[in-house]
Amino acid sequence: MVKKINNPVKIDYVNCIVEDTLKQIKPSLLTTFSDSNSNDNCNNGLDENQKPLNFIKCLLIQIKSTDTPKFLKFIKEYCSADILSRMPHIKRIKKINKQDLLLLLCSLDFLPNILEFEEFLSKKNLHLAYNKPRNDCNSTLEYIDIPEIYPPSKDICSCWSEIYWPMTWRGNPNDQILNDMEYNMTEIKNNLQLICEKSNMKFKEEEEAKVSSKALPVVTLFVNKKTGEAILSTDERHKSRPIDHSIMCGIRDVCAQLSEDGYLCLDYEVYTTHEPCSMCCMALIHSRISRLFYLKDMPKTGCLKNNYHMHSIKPLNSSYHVFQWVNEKIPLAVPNIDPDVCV
Amino acid sequence: MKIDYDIKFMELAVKLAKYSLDHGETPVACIYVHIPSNKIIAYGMNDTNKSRLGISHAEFMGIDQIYKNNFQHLLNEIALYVTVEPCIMCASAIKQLGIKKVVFGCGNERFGGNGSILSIHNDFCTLPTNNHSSLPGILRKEAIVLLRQFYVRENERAPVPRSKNNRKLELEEFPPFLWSKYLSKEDFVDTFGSENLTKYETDRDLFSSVNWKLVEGNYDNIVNELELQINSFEQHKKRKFSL
Repeated sequence: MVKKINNPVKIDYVNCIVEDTLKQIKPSLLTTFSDSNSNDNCNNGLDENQKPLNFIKCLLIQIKSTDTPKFLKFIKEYCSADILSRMPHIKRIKKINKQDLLLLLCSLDFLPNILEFEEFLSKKNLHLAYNKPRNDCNSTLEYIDIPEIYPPSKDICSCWSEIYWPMTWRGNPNDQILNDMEYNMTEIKNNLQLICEKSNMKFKEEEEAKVSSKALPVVTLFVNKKTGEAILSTDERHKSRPIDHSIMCGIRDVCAQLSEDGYLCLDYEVYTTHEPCSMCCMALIHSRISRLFYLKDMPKTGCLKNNYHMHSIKPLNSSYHVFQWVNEKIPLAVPNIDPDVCV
Repeated sequence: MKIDYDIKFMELAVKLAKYSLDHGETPVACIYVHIPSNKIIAYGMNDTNKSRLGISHAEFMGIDQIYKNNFQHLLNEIALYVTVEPCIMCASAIKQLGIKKVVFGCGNERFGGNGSILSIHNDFCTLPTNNHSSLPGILRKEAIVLLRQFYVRENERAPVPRSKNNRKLELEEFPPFLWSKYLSKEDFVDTFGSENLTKYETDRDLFSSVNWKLVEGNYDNIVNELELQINSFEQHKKRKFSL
């Protein structure tokens, strides 16, 4: 992991373009918020689209500020499996006055209520003094709602801090994602060039054939990141079934030669000529691939950039990164396909 | 009731899912039915664990069978009965194949493509000319009970198996069923009658009790029985052609 300024890879973080060549198709999570309302005043409330969609309920207790180290030690020792421990931008402490402060203990998924906390302490034979916090109306406040996602911008971060609970801005998470990723540009280019050539070759064969085979010039390459082994697949629907798209065939081919300790397509990256349809995008989620590179948009049927952003829909329990080749100096043109067709 | 046949076929799908559970697979199963003759022409069980192929869902296993038995010319006369809402991939495949009707038990809150996450069955980017009708909530509780029995076990093949020691098997409580996610009010009344409308409005199941006999039964013969039915359909087809 290198710091942004030391990264030898040229990344345009605003437009999400790597080496003037690969455009990131942004996760849907980050595009559901508008980035433009920087003048928004917290006191006037947030725009609908700046409110977090989901919250995590968290246990809140009131402690003496002198006890802070003890409690932080407790959290470190016993709550590492809690989701809050994976959200370092959420602050644990909020001051009430000189002696007292509020401590965000853990999510309710971890300990459902204060009684369970109590029980936990006595089981571990720990003695920690705390009180139940009270809200402005002086009734007890056992838990609070914390936004489930990282704030999409610095301004939203400070608004959320005021409205919900203090949090720190740790930079744009997508910048970090782009910065941390490895880009073997030569390999990526070669792989995309290969499928581009194959696709054009298929198209030419089809044009010159006396009898059309109705084969679609869609080509996909699965590359194993660990071994470098590559599996090429083509669209087979003309020979067999309307659902035998190049990606579906590729997934089956990968599985057929999976090593003993292999798990689905976990070790594979995918290169494909045309933006895949809803079935194929989801099949890649099920197959746990890490990255996909593609060349040509399918504005009507494509489900990565043009519809759904399926590689990153929130409730799906897995996601992959998507890049499109946008280098105009090295154009990788592939044949047009009927826009209504799912590829 | 209008859905008597639907319930009958879904009972078979539930039995097949129970068979899957008893044989170490995810308890999701399906039946493909030829609508004009009301005959079973294929079935499928989830096979992702055994095959280590992430796309071998029950629906796909059934589609393989349809092609193996050369029934593909009948695809647009076929209804799918599946215990769990098809995932986005399967919903899309079913639509691209031109299957006419999908009936399912419980929703699929993580992957569902017939209303839960996306509504592929009536969207505009997946061959909109192939929209199919979708009927949710048939034997939903039975489908949930089978899934719960499966998910208390652990997936040893996952890269980092999650410990599920503290998961308890919950058998009596069921989450509300949000019909409106899957079906318009008009379509609900059209299928289940206005006498059931309160169930739509209060997110309740069609039947309040669970058919325990169904989900607890042993169905080691079910595969044989289904194969016999498919054979009889093949004979039926052949007779029709020889006339």
